[in-house]
Amino acid sequence: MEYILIAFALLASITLLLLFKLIIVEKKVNVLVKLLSNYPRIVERLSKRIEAKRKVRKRYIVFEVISNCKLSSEELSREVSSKVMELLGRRGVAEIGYRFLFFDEKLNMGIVRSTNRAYKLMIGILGLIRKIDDCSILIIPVSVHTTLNKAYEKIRELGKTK
Amino acid sequence: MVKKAIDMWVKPKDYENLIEILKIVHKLGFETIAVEIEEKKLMKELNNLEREYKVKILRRKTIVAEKEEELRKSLRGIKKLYDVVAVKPLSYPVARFAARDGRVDLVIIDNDSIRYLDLSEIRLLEQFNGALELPLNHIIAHIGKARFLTRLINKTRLITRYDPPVIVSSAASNVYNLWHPLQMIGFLMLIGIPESKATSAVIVEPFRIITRIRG
Repeated sequence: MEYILIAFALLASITLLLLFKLIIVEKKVNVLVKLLSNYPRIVERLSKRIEAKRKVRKRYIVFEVISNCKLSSEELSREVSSKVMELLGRRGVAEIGYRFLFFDEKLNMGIVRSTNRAYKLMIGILGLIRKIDDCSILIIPVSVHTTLNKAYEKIRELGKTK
Repeated sequence: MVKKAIDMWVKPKDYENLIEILKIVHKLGFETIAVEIEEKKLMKELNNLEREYKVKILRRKTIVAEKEEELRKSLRGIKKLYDVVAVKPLSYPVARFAARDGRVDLVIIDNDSIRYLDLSEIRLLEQFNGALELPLNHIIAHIGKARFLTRLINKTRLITRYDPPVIVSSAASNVYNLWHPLQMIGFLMLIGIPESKATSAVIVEPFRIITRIRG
């Protein structure tokens, strides 16, 4: 009976110790978080380093075009490519992994490729295209996908509902 | 409560134009828009349209002023008629007055007024709960000019360093001038504003202004 009591006391003390340690660690983490929140620049630098270490992956942006006239795939690809080139230059185009992949003239939907680091910039650039020749257009980003098949699937899905 | 994007400046020409915009605004993911209309008949119909298209509509007035007295005159009794009041300053005294005045919610920064944005203006805006407004269509119209672009990039540096409240609006007069919230964020990132600040400019700051207006 005594042995059981001793073992129980030992177990209890060990668990108490572990809990105590956990609380200390938590407190330290909280202090660190508070400290870092006072220095946003350090946090930004750290997040940039983490971002730089992340692997570059492809992202496929599905977009929809609203326009007052019929658009051909060639016209749109020419306009988008020239806009990207104008804003980012050849090096920028290579860095963001831009490629105009597909445009369905019936559904007015298309796919543009970019990377996980720059797809938001790419969406921003799509927003700058407002006119092609005399046609006014509005490009709306619908979704971002990890694979081309999923992007095609999305377009098919939206096509059925239309 | 999930916060959604808010477009703080839409300026339709007529009733049909407004309806066209309202049809697409919901599709773009906006919960609230601030509409600038001159006609008083249309102002009364906004409540009906709000119910029909399930988008909250605020009444907005933009004042362009060169002298302080002009601004004072036009601000008199303005909050009874409009929810959001924005000022486009064309001189330093007007910019300072707009930043100090409690009735002014937004100070517009575009091609004509970008030169009046400096550190003291930013400090005043922070102190009196105002915000800077970047109307994207006005900015894009002049982005081809090298001088404006350099000024814009310099001012964005100031904004990222001192972190004043900033909001973005489309300033759209028709459907094709509207902006998707993600496009707004992407454009701000293009001109050098960090992602977190860009997201808050589209979602958080407009929400703060609206809650302040509606109480």
